[in-house]
Amino acid sequence: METRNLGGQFAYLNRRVHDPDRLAILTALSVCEQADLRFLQRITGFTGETLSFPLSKLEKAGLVEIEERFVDIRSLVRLTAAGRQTIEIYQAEEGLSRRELCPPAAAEGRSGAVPAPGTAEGRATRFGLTVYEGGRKKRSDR
Amino acid sequence: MNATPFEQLANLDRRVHDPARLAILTALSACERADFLFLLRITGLTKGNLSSHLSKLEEAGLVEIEKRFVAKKTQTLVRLTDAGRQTIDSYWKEMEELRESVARWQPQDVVPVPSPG
Repeated sequence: METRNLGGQFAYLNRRVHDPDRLAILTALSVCEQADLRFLQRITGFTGETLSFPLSKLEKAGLVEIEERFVDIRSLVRLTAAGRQTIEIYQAEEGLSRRELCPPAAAEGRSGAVPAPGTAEGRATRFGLTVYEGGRKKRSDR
Repeated sequence: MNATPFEQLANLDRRVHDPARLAILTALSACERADFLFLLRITGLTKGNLSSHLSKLEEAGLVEIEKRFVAKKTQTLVRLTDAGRQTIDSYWKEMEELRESVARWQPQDVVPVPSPG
């Protein structure tokens, strides 16, 4: 079923990246050219085991490459081109989703005059959307 | 030593960081309250999924759910509690701060440890 989405693309964010452990690793590697496992452990606060699990997932997904097959703490890790692109897209999409769900104007203005809460007008004004009354319109335009 | 931004990322509050809950809480933070069907549409979640996340958020005291009858139909209204608003606001504030500290971060900031052997 195709879901038409106005924003809120969080549900579609790349979950491989969104997971906190993987996000930490990818972000760390995105600012280091390459890092050995020891260094990566130190800056992410992971121990050997907690690091190797998300790291091997990332490697399988082709987002990072680890220099040696039999890995020890001196093995070098870096993002692949796909990994770099993925984290950049993720960051852009995350910001975009947030702004679509909670436009800066709504965040700033919410302490001020509030359009009648819960009403279609209120929702429409805050989100700059057409009016959706109940779910009927949603079903009909799918 | 202070936690690096990466360490902080790894320690994000997973209850809030979950994509579906993040979408729900962020959408609610933009309005006083929203009805179920509106949330359904804007988050793109399925009914069952949205409903189960809302119950969990209610249990955690982050949202309040009010059901009322409008034209003989149930309308479900959802709003953030004060705790919920604080939680999502501080989540995004933390993410912004993390992004800035990642941009400023230098590998040299890490004090080297002598390697054994």
